[in-house]
Amino acid sequence: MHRDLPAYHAWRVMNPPQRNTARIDNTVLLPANDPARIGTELHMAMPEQAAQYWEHFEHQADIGVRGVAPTLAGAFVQAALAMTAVITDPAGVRSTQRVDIECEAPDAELLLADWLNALIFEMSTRKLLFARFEVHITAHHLHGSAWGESVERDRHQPAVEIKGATYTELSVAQLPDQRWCAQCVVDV
Amino acid sequence: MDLNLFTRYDTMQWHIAPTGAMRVPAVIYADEPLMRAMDHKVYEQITNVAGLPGIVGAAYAMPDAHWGYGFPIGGVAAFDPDEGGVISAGGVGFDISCGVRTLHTGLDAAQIKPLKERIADALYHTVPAGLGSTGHIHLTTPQMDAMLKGGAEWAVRRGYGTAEDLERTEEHGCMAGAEPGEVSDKAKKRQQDEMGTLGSGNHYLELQRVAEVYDSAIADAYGLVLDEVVVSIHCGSRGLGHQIGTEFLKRMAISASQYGIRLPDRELACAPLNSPVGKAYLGAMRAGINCALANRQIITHLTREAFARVIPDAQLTLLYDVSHNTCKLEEHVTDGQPRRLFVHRKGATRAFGPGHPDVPAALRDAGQPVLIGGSMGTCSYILAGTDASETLAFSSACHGAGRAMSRRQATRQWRGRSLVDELAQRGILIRSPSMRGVAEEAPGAYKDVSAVVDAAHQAGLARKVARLEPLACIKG
Repeated sequence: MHRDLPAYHAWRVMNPPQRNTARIDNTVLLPANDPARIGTELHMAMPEQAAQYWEHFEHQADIGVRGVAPTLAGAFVQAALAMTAVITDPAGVRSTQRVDIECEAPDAELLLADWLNALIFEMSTRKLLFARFEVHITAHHLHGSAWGESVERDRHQPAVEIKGATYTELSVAQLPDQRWCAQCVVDV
Repeated sequence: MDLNLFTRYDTMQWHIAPTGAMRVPAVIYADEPLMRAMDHKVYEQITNVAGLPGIVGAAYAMPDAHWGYGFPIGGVAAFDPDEGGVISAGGVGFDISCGVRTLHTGLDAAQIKPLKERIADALYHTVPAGLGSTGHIHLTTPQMDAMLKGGAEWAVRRGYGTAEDLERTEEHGCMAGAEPGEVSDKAKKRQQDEMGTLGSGNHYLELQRVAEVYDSAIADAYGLVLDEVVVSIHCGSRGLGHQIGTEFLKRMAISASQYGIRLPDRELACAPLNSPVGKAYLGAMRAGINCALANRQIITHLTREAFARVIPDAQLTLLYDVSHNTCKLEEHVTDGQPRRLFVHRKGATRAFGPGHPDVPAALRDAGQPVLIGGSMGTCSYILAGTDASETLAFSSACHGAGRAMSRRQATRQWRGRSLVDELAQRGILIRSPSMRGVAEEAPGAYKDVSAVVDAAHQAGLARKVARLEPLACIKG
């Protein structure tokens, strides 16, 4: 769908997300206290030109996560934030616990899938949600940290658990403006 | 989808002749409206599957086919190990052996009506559901390995259910050839708190009423009576299966070139069945099947406990348990010759016809029950396997409705709380820890399951037996 990332980016610049309109027209937005309201919408209201951002993209059964940033590591951080937003609003997750993560893969795309899958494993086994990330990448190796807190079902209203990061629409590439874009579909 | 890409064989069959890298034809079963609405990705994915080494007959897609991972969801493909046939982690899916089981309650809708709220609450408090929920059973490593070897049979030995349950479960509740040693420590760790949990997403436990009977002879054989209340459970192998899928996807993607397999899509990663990676996955995947069977068996036990608290003398008996994400070794006849083939069914249900020896004796004359899940608020169906399905698609049928819109679109269109209220007015109780989760699973976000089931029936893949309407739904 968005295999050709430079073309996608060009299209995106011409067709910015329409959330700004939604912000003005409050009838379009759900009430602030409605647990169904999701961070995705609010986040995407940020200007597209922001140096770094994350967003979701469509997949019929599941959902795609995409991170864009000036550096490769930054794009991985943004993709991880997008993944948290599949579950809950990242703004509602406190950074009280830290988990360190190491991954190794033969190329940047498999490394992205490994990074997201490592986070899924830690979320699942430690019952955590993550809201802050730090990533360092050298060649085929990733060293990262994730900060978060234990899941509180009433407060976080977790929409869905993620089974795995897939290789569908998996892509790590540089955009024409030199920023990095990292994305894949996650199975929920 | 552009119908010009297909040769219409009859009203329900759409063929793609082999071109390019395709080794066999591809066949989609659907009526014209379903075909037009189908994502073009199904065409891409099913033709990619038709190009995998050792594929036999054709690559098939069921009427509910949609964009999946490497394989389309609703995809069926059989491979011969002696002809370089492969096994694919994506062709089984992340949720290994996800499936449906349906239990009779022996009670009719009028008896349940005054107790429905209490039953829904009892089920919600007894069966752990949703992200962050924890099961009541925590296994040591030797216990975990015994579960991965024994499946539902292991669960019954531990007191979760009866021998009769096993008789009504595929593989008699225990998948042979499971190799717990091929399942990583990480996969086992991910399962440590998840035995007997429902999960989230499209998984559910539902109280349903038999609203319509289409084939009274088969309904009799299945013990289905109009207005009877049944319980259906839809879930899979939980964290263990997801981790096996994740790890083998990577191993297969990396090893493919070493086996001379060209992957048009990395997600289609696979390995020859006779290779070390292929054999390791087969052993791990079978252990994953056992985990799913044990999980549904434990949830059955919890369901009985919940019922007993409200209706002490209720007797819940299993109609059948069927998986729709698997790869199984089966005997099929191709070109007049019986062959032992590994059949992948990704979002497709096995549908053995009448007389098949693997169908429980009590149901054998009627054919295997095919359990089709809807989504909360929409109906589910029970079908029966047919003789024709063997030649049509290695005895396979559809598995559900499939999504019509993405999760994001759904949360824009619906609010969880309003949906719960709206469904309550229609007499359908929803119990869920997450209102956003409910919005994402809104009934309107799914395709019309009735159209899918009608197409499967008309194509001859399976025969309609009964329609079930939801009364209460526990969602993760």
